[in-house]
Amino acid sequence: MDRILNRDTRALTDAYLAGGLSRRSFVTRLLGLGLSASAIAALVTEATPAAAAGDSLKGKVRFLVGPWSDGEIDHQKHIAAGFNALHPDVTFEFRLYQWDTAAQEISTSAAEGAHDIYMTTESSYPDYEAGNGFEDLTARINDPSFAAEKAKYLYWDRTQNYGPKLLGLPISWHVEDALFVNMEKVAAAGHDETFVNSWDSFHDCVSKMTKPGETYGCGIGIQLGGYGEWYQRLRSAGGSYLTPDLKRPNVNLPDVVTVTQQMADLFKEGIAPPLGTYSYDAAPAAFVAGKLAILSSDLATTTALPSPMPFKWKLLPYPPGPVSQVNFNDITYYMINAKSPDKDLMWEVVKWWTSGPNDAYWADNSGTYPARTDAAASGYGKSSAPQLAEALPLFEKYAVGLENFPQWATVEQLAEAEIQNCYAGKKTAQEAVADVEKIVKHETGL
Amino acid sequence: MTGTAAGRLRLSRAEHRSLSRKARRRRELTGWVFLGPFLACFLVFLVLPVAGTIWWSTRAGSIFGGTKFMGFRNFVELPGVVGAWSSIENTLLFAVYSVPAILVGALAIALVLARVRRGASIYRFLVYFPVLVPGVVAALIWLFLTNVDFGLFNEVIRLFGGKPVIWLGADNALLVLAVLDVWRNVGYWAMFFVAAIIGLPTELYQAAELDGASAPARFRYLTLPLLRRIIFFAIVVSTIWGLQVFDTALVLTNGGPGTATTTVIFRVWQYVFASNNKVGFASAISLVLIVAILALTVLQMRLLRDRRGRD
Repeated sequence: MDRILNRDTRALTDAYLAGGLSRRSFVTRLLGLGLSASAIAALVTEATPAAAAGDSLKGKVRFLVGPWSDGEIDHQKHIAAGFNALHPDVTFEFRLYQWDTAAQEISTSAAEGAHDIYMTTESSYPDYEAGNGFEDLTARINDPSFAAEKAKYLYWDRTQNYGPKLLGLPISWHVEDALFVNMEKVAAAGHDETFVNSWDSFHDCVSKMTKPGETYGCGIGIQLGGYGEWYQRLRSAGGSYLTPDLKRPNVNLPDVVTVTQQMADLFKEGIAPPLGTYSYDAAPAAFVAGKLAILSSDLATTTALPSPMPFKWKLLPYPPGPVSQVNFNDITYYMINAKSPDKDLMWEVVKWWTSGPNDAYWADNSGTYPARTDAAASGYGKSSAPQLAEALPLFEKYAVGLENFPQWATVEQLAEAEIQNCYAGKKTAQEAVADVEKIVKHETGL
Repeated sequence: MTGTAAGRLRLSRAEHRSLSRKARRRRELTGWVFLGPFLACFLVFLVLPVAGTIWWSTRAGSIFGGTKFMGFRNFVELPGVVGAWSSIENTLLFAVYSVPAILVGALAIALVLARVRRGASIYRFLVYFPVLVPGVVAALIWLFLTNVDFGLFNEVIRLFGGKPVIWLGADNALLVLAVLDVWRNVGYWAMFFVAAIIGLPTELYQAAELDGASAPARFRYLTLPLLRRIIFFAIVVSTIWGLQVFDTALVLTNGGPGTATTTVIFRVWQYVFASNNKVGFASAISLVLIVAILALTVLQMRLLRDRRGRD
């Protein structure tokens, strides 16, 4: 029943957004489905009755969001249109931040009260938890009337681990560094997808796929700053920035030096393109053109790939390290500025934005996984590359998140840059790893 | 008491003092009124931030949160921080690459432009045009120019049968940033030099020509000495600008690959906005940079001062 209603309502919404229907016709036809607006909201969007309580909500909502895909603003407007069908007196304004400067833009904006709702990443959550820039939503999230809805969101255990405050509702569970693999080149190299089961077979495969002047076996270090790329190798070697009790650095270990050297060797042997060859934006085209047999990037890159692709490809996790196989991932949240004037309105908006169908719609079009149990039943998988769904079990199996200390994001930014100095041949693996440990000490004050 | 004698207005000493005091006050007041807007901006945008930076440099914490007094610990820790020396090295190298190239290029362009009669304004506009391009836009333009696969630079290299160059690789990125800086700023200084060259006394050149001085000799013994002051000014200012490079490094390379283009100001920016408790540290770096720039300027003034006299 939900699916049918969902499909019909989606068709109506699309027609309304395309300008084929007036708002009046839209609402009339919704009612024509035999349901009141509140029932539609409750059943179709999984929203709470408060969200569909009528047209009492009014005000302006200013969003600061990340550019997950070229159509980010359009996707936001799509979700807003659904909200406006129920609450026409609420207006929306969307601004994009840049990934490179996201933390800075969010912090500055939150302090100035420049926006009401923020799309934030988990990497800064411990920092936000320690500060007071965002509204504490604990009481609202733990309210008994929200319990049924809360149960549909995933990863509360991770969120609650950061501290007593719940600052946001999750919208995405994102793998930051997956391997986009050209399976035809893998087959030509005499391997199959099990080549990622060990570093030796991975190295053999990417070596054989490398054709000087034509194809690099593995494009790593593409994201300037390399968010999470080396970090997951660190974790696979049994290291972490801090020990589990957060009292000592846990970086400078022999196995960590080994995995760092392994990565650096890919550059030294000409298997990986030298740093600076491809940018984050240009790399997908190089992968499509066959210049990169494997591209290491985040899952949002799937939105930059053409459909259909000119070859068979898969998403695979990084090979195991000496201790474990690891894929780094993080959660994205919507949070409310503590300085926002109308918290009740913002709460209703955040609930709507993270509701089953809207999370499914946004994640499906943004190349990421939704953070809801009901996302699949709400339409997730219609637009996204099928490789995403196929790879999910593997990514879940090897998932690790970040560590719970406020300086994690800063350490990560500085550490990945130092490690890239090793990839560029400016430092040895031992020196780079030792420097990362110094960074950890300096940033955390240990 | 006022009185007239032989048609002259006579004032007592006290009245004269009072009137002249009033006139002086009026003059001073007028001066302050004219100076006021600048002074307000000077205080708000320079003195206060510098004072704030000094205050912040002795504290730990975030710009939007609480802080605590640290004394000089931020300064003491500076030399030991990973990447501190590489960012200083990158900044100095950038200035060494870009400043001489900008000034030599600008002078060469100015010498040519000063001779152009027909269409001079068009040429001047074209030379000046890159100055009008904001740093971020310039960096984006160069992002396309330096693309390995389809960038203009590599297309030209391929045309001549060469191998594509990784322009933004760890070995070249800083140099590319410097060239971009030259591209952006050479027109600015060229216009300065053109204005100065046009204003040079022509009779000196005529006399030199009559004496049989060659063109290089006229440049060496007339133009350069006469332009000395403006060249000195250009060296000081362009060096200061060179040490403050940031926007193009952020957009074009984001400080990378690794830390290949991480400059001092880039580090300051990272610590102010990307760290949650390092604004004091960033302020300490800023203060050291200010002092370094002041010291460098004084050094340049001494080195460039005419041996025969003072400027």
